[in-house]
Amino acid sequence: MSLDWQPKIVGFTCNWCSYAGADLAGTSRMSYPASVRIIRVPCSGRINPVFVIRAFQRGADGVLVAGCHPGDCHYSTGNMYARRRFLIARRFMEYLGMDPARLEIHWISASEGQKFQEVIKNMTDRIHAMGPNRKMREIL
Amino acid sequence: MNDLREQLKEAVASAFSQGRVRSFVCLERGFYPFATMPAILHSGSDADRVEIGLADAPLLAKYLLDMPKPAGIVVRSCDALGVSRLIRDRRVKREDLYIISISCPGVVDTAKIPMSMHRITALEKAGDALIVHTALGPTELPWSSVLLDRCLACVSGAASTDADVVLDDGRGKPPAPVDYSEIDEVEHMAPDERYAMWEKEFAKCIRCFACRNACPACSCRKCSLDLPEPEWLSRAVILPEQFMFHFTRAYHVAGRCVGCGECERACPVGLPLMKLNRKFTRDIETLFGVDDARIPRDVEVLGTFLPDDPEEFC
Repeated sequence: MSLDWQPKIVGFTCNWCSYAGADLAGTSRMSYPASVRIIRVPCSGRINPVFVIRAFQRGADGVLVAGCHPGDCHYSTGNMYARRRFLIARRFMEYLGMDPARLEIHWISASEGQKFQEVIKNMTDRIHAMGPNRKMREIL
Repeated sequence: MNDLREQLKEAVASAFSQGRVRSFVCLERGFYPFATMPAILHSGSDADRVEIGLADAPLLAKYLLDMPKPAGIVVRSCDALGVSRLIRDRRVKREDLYIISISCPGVVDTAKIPMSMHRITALEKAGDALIVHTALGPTELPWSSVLLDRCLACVSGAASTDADVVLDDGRGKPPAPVDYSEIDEVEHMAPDERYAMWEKEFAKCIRCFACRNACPACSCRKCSLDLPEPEWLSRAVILPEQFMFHFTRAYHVAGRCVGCGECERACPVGLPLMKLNRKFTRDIETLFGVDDARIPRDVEVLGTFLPDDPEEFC
């Protein structure tokens, strides 16, 4: 591992809360590591756990799944389904031998620019300490 | 056992003569004298071919999809769960089916008999033992040591009651206690050790999709695993894609798996697929307070939610 290695984090953020939260962090000039690549999805309920596996496969070192706080979903209930789904999917990934710390799920609202900044900072630090992901990865 | 077989033949023949069915899926004698294979009958005169299936009996629910309706089926309790799954997935209609349910003492896994299949001339159940007849004379084995894995986790060997004809000779296997010790075993391994184990298992996979094809919960006409575009799964048989495939398959049946173990039985390379499915089953039971997640329900566990589901994300 070279000294300037930086983790690659794929962030799936929902259009209505977390993406707006990330945008707020940007427009408020809050700095956070450039390790995150954001993919905007309509709702956290749109995120298939297979997306996460695919991200790891194609070289992600960590994956962030972010959506509205439960109860605040733009589509009323999308994040509630996502919560059930990721409760079991995350345990299953761990069961397959992945480090569960590489997948983080957070509820970030549109006004929580600072929370977004903290989440990315903490996650980058943690994954930086863990080193690159080698599991399930296509290109080593 | 033979009584049950005679009753079953009669029931199948009368289903045809009363015009209740156009086709009937059941078991018939297989290539080995003691094994059975699926048969689709088209007239009552074929009813003589019907067998109960003492050893290596495949499950039949999935055949209903392509049979001319109304279709008949012989089910044991595990198969009944599969049929119920197909009905709830709206793949078949209950009114198009004629179900004969039979009691089942368990099905022998010939791979667990410690001798070559070619030497066995006949199998016989006698009380709590399996008698294996060979040219050199009979050998007795304890019944529970030769059963298929799915029978060891049997919901109940009694004939299912949601049927048009119920044939129960009272010799069904008693329900097995739910045992998740094999899941615990994997969970207690270190993550890297666990990953290495799955890597070793998945490396054997030849991606024949027999597990998918055998599964009563995997009945989509168009499957994401087959689609060239979008390419969810590439054709390359490399490890990351094996993980992708097995994750996708297991996750797809999460909350819908009936625990029949047919995937594992169909697998030509012997992957422990039920260890994947049962992990989901157990997590669903503990996290969402579902009582025996194998039983198909009108509302899918992952197709619903509760406002007070466990909150471990923040």
